[in-house]
Amino acid sequence: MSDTDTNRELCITKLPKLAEDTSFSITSPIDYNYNCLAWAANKNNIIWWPHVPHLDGCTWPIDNFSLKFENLIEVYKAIGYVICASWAFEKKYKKIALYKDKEGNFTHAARQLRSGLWTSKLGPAFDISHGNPYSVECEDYGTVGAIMSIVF
Amino acid sequence: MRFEKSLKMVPIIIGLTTSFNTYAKTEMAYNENDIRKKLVNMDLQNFKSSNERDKFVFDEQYNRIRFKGLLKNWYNETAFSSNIDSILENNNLKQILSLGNSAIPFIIEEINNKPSYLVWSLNILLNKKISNSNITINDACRKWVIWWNTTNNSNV
Repeated sequence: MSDTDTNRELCITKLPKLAEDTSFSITSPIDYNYNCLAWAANKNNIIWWPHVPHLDGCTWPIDNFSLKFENLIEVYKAIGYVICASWAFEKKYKKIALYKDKEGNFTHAARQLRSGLWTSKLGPAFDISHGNPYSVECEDYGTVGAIMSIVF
Repeated sequence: MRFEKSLKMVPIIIGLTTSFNTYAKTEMAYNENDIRKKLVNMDLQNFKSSNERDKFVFDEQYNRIRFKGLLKNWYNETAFSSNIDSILENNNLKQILSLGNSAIPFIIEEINNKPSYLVWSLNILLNKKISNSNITINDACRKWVIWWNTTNNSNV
């Protein structure tokens, strides 16, 4: 049982906007096997990060190893996603939100569920659900830089 | 020169206790006179080897405590970090890596109990992956533990 008051407080300390999100809940225990970028692509058995091929459990799905935000967009384009205008739920589409920092590097990714809620993997820690992509914006994760979608 | 117990000693004592120097470890040996007087039961022939053994045990315990502290800080400071580069560049992990190969038994023990990104410290220290295929962190930890047990048993 990970959705405890203590764990919620921990999350809110790092991601303060979650305090205002009534849909926020912790949905999984700590799991080191995947990260947010892989989780946004429905993968829970690998870590996606560029230029760490020497580390066990890691891979990067394209040949460009840049940390620039535009390169993350290319990663999801490679698996069929296209840029879209709105994060609002549309029954036909699965959507993802990509985040970037002030330097223009990518930082985080979240995915919309069939319920309309969003799911994020917080580093090596928990999966959480949240009501909109903006409630996980914070110092570490930066801000939403793009919304992409794919047909379900 | 002979010191007598008197108030004249106070400045000396104060002077001795106001040092700002700290030491990571202290070499300790028995007073040789005590050994000669049999006040300390010690085999002088084996003194050197036992002293080295004690030092080894002391170093191991010191490193273990240090490792545990650094690990706890690393987990706490990177628990929500999605940036793998910043997880790897965290100062606590750098200090764990600076322990060198002496940290490997502690790392193996830790990932055996609790699989985590700590497995990457083995990739860095030993400059190799445990598998060239895409395996999970849990599987990588398991394989490293098996590798360690096999390597140690074959060396016995």
